[in-house]
Amino acid sequence: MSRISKICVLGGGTAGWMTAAALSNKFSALGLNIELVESDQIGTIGVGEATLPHIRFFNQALGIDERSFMKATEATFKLGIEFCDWGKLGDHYIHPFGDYGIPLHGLDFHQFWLRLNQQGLVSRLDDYSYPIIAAEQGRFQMPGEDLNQIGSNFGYAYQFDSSLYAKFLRTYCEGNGVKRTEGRVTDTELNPETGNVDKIKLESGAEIEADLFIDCSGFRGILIEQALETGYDDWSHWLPCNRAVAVPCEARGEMVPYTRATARQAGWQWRIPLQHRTGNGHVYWSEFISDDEATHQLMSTLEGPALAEPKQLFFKTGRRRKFWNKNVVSIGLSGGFLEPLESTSIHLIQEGITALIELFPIEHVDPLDVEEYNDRMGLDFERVRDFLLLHYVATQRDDSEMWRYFRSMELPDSLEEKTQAWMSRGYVLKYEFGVFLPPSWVAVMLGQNLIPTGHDPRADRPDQSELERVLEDIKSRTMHAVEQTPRQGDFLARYGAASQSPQLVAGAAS
Amino acid sequence: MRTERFDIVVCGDGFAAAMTAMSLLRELPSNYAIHFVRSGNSTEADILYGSVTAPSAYDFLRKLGLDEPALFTRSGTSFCYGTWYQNWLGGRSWMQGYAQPFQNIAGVPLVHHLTRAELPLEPVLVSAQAALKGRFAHPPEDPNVPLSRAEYGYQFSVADWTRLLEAEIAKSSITTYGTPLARIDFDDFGHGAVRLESGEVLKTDLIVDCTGPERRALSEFGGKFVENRSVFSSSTRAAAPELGWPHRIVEADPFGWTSKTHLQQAIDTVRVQSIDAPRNMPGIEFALGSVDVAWIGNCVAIGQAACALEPLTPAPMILLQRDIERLLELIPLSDDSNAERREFNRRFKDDVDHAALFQGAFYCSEQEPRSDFWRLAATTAQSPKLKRKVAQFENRGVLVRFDLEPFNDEDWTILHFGLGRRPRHYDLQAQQLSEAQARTELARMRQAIEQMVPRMPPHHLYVANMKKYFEKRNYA
Repeated sequence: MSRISKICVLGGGTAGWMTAAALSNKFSALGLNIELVESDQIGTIGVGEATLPHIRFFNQALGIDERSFMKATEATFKLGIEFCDWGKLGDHYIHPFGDYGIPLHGLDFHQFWLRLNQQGLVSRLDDYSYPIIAAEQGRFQMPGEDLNQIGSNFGYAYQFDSSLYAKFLRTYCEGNGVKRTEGRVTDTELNPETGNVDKIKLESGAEIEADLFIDCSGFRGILIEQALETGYDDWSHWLPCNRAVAVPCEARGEMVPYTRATARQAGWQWRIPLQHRTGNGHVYWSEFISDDEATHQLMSTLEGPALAEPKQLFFKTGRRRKFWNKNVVSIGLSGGFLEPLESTSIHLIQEGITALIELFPIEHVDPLDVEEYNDRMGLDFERVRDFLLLHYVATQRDDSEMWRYFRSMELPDSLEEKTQAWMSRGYVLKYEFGVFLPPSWVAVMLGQNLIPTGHDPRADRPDQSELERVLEDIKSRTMHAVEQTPRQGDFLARYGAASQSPQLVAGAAS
Repeated sequence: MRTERFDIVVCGDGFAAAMTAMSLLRELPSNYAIHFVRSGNSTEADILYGSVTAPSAYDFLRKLGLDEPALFTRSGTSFCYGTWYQNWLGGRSWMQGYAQPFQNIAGVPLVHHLTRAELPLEPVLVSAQAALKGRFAHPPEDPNVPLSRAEYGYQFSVADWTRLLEAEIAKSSITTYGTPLARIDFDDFGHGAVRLESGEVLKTDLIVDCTGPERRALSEFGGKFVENRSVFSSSTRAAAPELGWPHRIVEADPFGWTSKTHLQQAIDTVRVQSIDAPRNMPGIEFALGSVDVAWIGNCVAIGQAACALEPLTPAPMILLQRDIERLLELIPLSDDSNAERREFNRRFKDDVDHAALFQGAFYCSEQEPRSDFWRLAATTAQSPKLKRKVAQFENRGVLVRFDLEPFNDEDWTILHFGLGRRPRHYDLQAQQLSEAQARTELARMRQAIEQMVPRMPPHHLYVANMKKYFEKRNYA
């Protein structure tokens, strides 16, 4: 039986409540005493409003009803991310949650596309992707059971209000017996012998002891850094954007099932359409743009009136040297930060929680568990980092200092090798672990105009006219499947996931 | 679409050469011309490819034209649910069966429920139970049938399969040269051409070295073989009128181990032992290890020319298959193959390391080694990755994974249990079920297998009937 009986989760943002929800569900039989400490005075960061398909499995594992969750969080469906102006100004492409076409002759579809494209005989690769065409047309339906069928070969995620998600999970957690304590931490007491955190002290004078602390206190890392001085690996030389300004605005136009990331002169801007509003933010590198100018660029490109004052964020990309140190596990921004260009913030929280559950201390904090946890999370962060960096370096832009910086950057070996193998023959270096699988690399590299000079010669075996016919058939079936797909708004209503709340309007927003 | 001619010369004489040449011919477009230079005497060393395949061989063999009608009617191939290891370290015996991903119970991996209930794994492994009773049937797709969770490979004879492949080569468009490789001629850029003993020079874009331990081509490119240890190996064949077990048997002794492979009409015996131990049969000494890099310049080594493992598990066959698949994925498109070479060598190293991890795990034990054979095998198996795998499993049943390992979670779990490793703790999530509920579920799984296995046909009858069916349908 576990001797770990008291857990303190510090911080009540997305990371804190997701962690508390998972622990209270998965270890319900253990009678764990879980206490979450948060302060209403401290706002949550909430940049993670867009997610990856893995979030569905998190919710399902907790027994959360999808419709209730979507209504409560004003969620929309997400089929991918649209990237605008990344390869060059005027470009745009969608990184979809799903494969292109269907595998032919045991090879990836894109190899056959490359063969015909090199002869100028095909339209864009996107035309063979159901989730891309459906996203472009604002349509959505659930994938079917046969994931090899066109119209079913995709995944989906959500775009939601992360503060509402935290609120939703709070209700869930309290139903599971999680205790919420309001308060700010004023001091931390370490055990003089073990160096573990013994207790935290709150402004109210209350003291909270625990066997295990989960630090979800955000960038500050109150326990993992301020108390334990764990250290931080700074990745700014690869991902130098270091500030963001975020603001919600009134929604305009159709509610589309995708997030948009538009490259700017010194960073990029996100647009996340929810049911009741649109989330926006500008991530930038302060070296090349002032805060005022960054805010101006954001506010002048909103689709509707702002619903709040813009919120400024400061960060440094990188990762904590140890995600788990002593009896403190850092989850969320306290563990590390990679800009939310590919919606990985919430995903990395989820990865942290999943690993923690598998390696949850049994009798005491075991160095073996700690080591395994840190190795796994380190690999996750590193592979996401390379994928994010790809977006910046796979560019033909040279219209600003930031883009010129990236064009002259020396890449990490791992990324350099990936790019060379891709350019030679459309080959994606093989790895099993990491968030982004080969179709994601294909999407970004082709989307940003890295067109390979060759292709897998095995794709030359099929007869030319037969291959052209097969590709045309796939394209036509893709289009047909999309035409049969309802618009997202209609689907949400029919599915029972449409929120009843009115659209937020500037001046009336709470 | 590339149309320029691209010449590939496969050098070797034996299993890897035949398999590589046929794979290249079947998979690549017609502008890739395949030449086959019979060189070396690697057939003797083919014993190290072993006599069993992993389930992953099925698709690979089909692409080569070696589907089940061909294998069962034109060679002595039989089915294989796994390998029975007998009298292994600590006197342990277990069935290293092939299995689909284990069922989770209440979302928690099977191993944790077994650990909590202190129950063995083997009774809930359908392939193991069928193998132990000498029964075989193809696993059905219906997930409600327990047998659907089984996987299978083949028991085979390398010489048989080489013969089948060479017959296909003789009929194919592959240009075969009877004169062996004499040496590699290099131009000023380090690009090699194959000079035959007849004096003829074959200018080639790529040389594929399948000459086994001789490494006739790669060694001229500077390839270095790193030896871990040496073993002595021998093989014999005995007639067997009736097909035997649907599994291989490997029995350990103080000086090494002996395997018995049950083929149609024969039982093949292979002995692997310390080079110092008494020798009862003629055989050969082999250096086990691998080259530092398998692709240098325009020469790539495949099979034992790149890595020699003892045939304790299907690892040697898996590595050969992966070598060929990796080459096909990265076959050069032009003279500049830097990107391809680097990726090939990266994956090669990972594959060799990870195959060696699994084989090495067989020798890791708290037991005092029985002899130098076991001591040396245990010593060379040591690595931080293996240490991490064993420590994590023993601690709490966690399976540490690395990218694209040739052996999966099921293989590792079965091996750990077989070697007597039990996690000290189980995943606390298992407590979502009461212990009684978990035991009931485990009993249900065990009983379903117990009821099904006696209804399966004996291996020999299944194969006989299958062959009749093939003949009737004219499949062979």
